[in-house]
Amino acid sequence: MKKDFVAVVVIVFLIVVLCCGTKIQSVDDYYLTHIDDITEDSETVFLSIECSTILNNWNDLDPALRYEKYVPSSGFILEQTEYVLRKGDTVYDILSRAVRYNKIQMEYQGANLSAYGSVYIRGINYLYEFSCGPLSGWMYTVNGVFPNYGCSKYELKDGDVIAWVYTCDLGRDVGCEWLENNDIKAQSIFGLQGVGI
Amino acid sequence: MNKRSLKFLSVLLCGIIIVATVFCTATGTAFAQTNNSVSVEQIQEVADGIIEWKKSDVGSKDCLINDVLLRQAGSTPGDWYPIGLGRLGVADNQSGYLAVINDVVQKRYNTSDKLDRAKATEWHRISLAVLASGGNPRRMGDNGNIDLIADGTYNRVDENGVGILGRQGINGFIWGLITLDSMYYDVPQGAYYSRDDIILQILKLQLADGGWALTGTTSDPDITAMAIQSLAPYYNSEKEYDGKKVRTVVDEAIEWLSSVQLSSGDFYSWGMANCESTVQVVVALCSLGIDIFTDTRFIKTDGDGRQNTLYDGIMKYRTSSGGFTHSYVNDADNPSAVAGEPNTMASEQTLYGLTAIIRQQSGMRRLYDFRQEQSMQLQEQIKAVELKIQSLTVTSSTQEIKDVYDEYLAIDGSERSYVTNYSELSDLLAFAGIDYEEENITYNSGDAGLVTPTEYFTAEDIAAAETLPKTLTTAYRAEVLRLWQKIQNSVEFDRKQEMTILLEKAKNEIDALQDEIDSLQREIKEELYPFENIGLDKRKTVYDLYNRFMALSEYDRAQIEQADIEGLMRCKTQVDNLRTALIIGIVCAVVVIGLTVFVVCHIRSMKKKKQAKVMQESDE
Repeated sequence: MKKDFVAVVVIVFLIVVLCCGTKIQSVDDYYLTHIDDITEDSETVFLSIECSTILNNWNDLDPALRYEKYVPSSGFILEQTEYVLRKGDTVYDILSRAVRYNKIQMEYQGANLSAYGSVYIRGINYLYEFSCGPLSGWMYTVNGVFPNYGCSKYELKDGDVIAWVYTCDLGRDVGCEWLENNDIKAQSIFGLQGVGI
Repeated sequence: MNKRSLKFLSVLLCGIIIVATVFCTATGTAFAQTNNSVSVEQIQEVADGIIEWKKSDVGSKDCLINDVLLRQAGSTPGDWYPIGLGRLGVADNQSGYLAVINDVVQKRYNTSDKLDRAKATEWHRISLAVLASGGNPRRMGDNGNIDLIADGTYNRVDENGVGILGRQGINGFIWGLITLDSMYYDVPQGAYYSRDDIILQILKLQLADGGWALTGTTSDPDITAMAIQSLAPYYNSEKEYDGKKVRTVVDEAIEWLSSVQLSSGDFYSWGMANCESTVQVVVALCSLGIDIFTDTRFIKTDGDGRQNTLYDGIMKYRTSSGGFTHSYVNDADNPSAVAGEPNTMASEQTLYGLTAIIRQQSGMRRLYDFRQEQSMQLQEQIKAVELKIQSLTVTSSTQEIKDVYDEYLAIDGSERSYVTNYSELSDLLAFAGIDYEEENITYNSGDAGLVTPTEYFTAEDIAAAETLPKTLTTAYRAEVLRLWQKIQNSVEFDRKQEMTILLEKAKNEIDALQDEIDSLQREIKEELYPFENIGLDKRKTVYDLYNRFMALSEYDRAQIEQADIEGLMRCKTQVDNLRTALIIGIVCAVVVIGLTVFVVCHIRSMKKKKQAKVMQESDE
């Protein structure tokens, strides 16, 4: 009788284990596989990728790119999405993760290849600098402000909102007012300034 | 007066004249020195300082063009340093650059967009770098059938045959023209763009204030200076484009540049006084033969009464390391970009800017004129004409003017742009009513003087080939390509065939490695996202990728982006954990089933026993 009782307890225990999942992980493994899970304690930032200016400059767009898959009619390649902010993350790090998670094509020039020691984003979703006219390319804002340095140099803090925007007019069409006084504050300082030939 | 006193007087007079002459010359020299106190040697030292800084930047003790810099061949810094080095006449690893850029061009030509879909300047920059390194941009690629000059300038068209030289804006035309005139290349009949088409495009984009800009109505020093650089070979041309001569347009631009030069000698552009804009202006003025140390239009007096030249304006940005900084403006929003730190772009531009000054001061060709240097005889001929033009005045007779003009015309058409004061003669010709002769500039295919020199695959090269490790990594790419290129052009020697096979094998191996690195990165992105979908069904894929990754050497693994490595490791951990979980689950299930069977059997046998007992009892 005693034996039976022990066996039944073991059976019940094992069934409970089986039902609850048996993922037994080391702390490191758990950390690695859950690194980008958003929890109550996570610090997060938001990121969107928009190219709606192209919709207004359709005729300037490279004909090979005039398709919904390159320029969605919503204007958004990626709607605003929340991402975990890891310690020391820059705008580039978040973009680099976001395009991977969403399988969006992206091409950049590495830090040591670009003018100011920062990563320069050449193309996202096959839309490149100059794809939509000579003043077109990618720029970014953080909390609505256009920083004047490269995206791999911009360290983020909790709650920051990043927007990657495609400009067809060197920033003017995306609300980059400082350009009026010839004062560039773009990641595009390299590609659009002209000296970067 | 007797003979003796006459003799004395004449000696005295001579003495006075000599003393006066010497004195005047001395003061003259002294005066010149205050304005021109920088010697070519001093400028050379500053340029050497940049090269040393860049060497430490790429971690080289030997050549600047090392494997780190060569990884960047085909990009802005990877090409502009070779341009600076070549034009400065510094012997570096130019053959390594040519071998690698040839490979880069061939690989990029294998894609549908070739060097780039939009940027014609990719062709221009690479062409100039190839020329500066002693190569021929018209004979690129494995079979020598890639012509960067045609493809990048007069035949720059899209898949529908529409011209796209200007797709990236004015830079495409400016650099297209600079490239076309780098060897005075011929534009063949039937080409999409003629030389005049390109010149006209640039002239048409001039703004009302006299300069040029990428956009807007206010000129920008960089673009204005680059436009002048491209138009410099046409400064002496009397040809009118829409009623305007190139000279008139360039003079307006020079005036605008002079008007915006800062009192410290440098220029302001894109929000800050900076080094690169100043360098571009220097290159522009040198290309016109203007002496930046003496031309008063470009010497400004600052608040302390100091006179600042463009050279002072550039030297402001020199850092203690020898490298140059972009700007001294510290941006409050930007804590990580420290103003005053040397950076690669300011340094690479200053290197070729200083080279432009040295070339001009030493009577060499313009920075972007890669033709064989002028003979002494030609230089003297030009100098003589310049002196004669200088001696003419409005009171000179028509015949005198005509004679000087004839001497000018005696200079070969493609060399006349080096006569720096022709515009004065041109004014006098108009004044005297003498007609201009039509210019006949002879252009060429650019092949002359660019015959591939006979190469000798030396004992040193053989040793280098033989010491290549059995298992190669992409760290050896530049060296293998250099040797491979060299042996192809080498004269016959005993072991040529053996060495060729060895190097071809090595080259293929490295190509395969590079392909593997690229495809690994691509497949990780394609297969391993989104992470939520990584289940045990993906275990094989994940492990395949992981094993391929681990099969790479440490050096090659480091070529893969950190984010991709993280993604791979994460997925591997995930599938490992899932598998462990599965095994534990199976073990648990087996134990559960076993125990259940045991318990059931046990209970049954107990029951049987009980029944047997009961039956036994009832029997009794």
